[in-house]
Amino acid sequence: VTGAPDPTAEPPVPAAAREFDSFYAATCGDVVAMLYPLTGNLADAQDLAQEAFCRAWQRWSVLSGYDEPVGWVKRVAARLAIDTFRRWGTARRFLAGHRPEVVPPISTDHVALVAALRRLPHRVMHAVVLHYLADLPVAAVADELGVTANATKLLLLRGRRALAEHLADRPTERGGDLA
Amino acid sequence: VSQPPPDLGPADERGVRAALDAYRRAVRELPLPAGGAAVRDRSDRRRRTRRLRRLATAAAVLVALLITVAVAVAVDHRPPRPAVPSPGPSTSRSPAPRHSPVPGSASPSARPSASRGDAAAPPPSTPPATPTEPGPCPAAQLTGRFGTAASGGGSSQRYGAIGLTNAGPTCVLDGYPGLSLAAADGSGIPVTVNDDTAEPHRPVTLPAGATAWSTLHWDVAQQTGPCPGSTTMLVTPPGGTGQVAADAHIGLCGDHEIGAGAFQPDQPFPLMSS
Repeated sequence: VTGAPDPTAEPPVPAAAREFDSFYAATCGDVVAMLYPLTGNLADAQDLAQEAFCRAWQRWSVLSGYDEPVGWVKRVAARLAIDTFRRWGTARRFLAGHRPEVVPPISTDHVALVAALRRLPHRVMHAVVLHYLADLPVAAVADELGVTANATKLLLLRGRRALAEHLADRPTERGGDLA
Repeated sequence: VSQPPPDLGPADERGVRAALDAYRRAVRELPLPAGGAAVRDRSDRRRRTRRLRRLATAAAVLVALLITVAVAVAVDHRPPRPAVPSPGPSTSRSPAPRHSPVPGSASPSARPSASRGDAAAPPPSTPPATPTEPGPCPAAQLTGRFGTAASGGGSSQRYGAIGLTNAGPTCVLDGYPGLSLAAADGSGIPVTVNDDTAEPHRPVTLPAGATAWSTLHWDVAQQTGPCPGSTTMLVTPPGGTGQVAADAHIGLCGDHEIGAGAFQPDQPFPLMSS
């Protein structure tokens, strides 16, 4: 049982529900995109995204006042994924080998990009995901990872370098997607 | 678009960003696994479940609390068992001598009164109305019995025991007896009572019919002066008021010292006479 439900979140009025629904429709895909490299499995990423939006709905009366409610959702989702990753990392890796392979309905270049992200050291991958996919500024990434801003910049540099090498090996990706 | 050079420059960062953004767009275009309404339903259901669970937890805590209280009350209402003393470390407390003054009245019908000189007498207490905490035994519901141990050879050391039997509801004897002696004509015989604190005392709970014992010790060699001989021993129960009379024909006279042990549930030795 996580924190107490915000009493200000109830009762949900239809206008708030409509507002939430359009917010969810507009941002859920991006949250899934952020979670996919963290979970390594699209279905898990979608589950976690829904979990984060569940929590968002319980505080919607507060969140709807934010400039960027999706920032809150992404932070919560990333924490869920990283905590799960830390707690169940070994078990998940083991199970992943025994799960039927589901080919995600995105291009092989994108699947390869996610795979390249997942080959990064965990800290590097977390930093890259939080900064480039969750759009958190460097200071916020440092805060989430519990390291200094300079250490975060170093992690991001390592991540960029590795990804640049990955992209150099696959020149078709950029030509195809940036067209 | 050119091939990225091995060293990381602004172009590489742009390339990485572009690749990641293209990936984001692709995932964003995927159909969502569920609509916003489904997420809201799930969220609301969970909130209801959580509220129910919290309610159930509160109820369980309440029930547990009630059971605890009920058990505590039931245990308190159980008739208390007599306390069994266990040997403990001897105290370094020195015996506090107590004097029983000679009653001023010489009237034959007057009885000597025992009083404690070392401590303020507790207020007169009656057995508490609730049976949960038995109070100190009042003299009115006790009967006394005195006897001596067989004295060995020519020793001047004498041992006796005073037993107080409870004829009323359960009560407690905790501590040392107040003692005074009276001669056949009712006149008091001065004695000094020393608490025998060699062993720590414990409260002795007396159910109806049970007896608690205090061991007495004196030395007849100390005797000086005329000796009318006592016929009656008057015992003040600890913490109680009034006196319990017991036949005690002992050749004790003069200003005498008697050592008295704390009340305990076991009779210390077979009694010779009273």
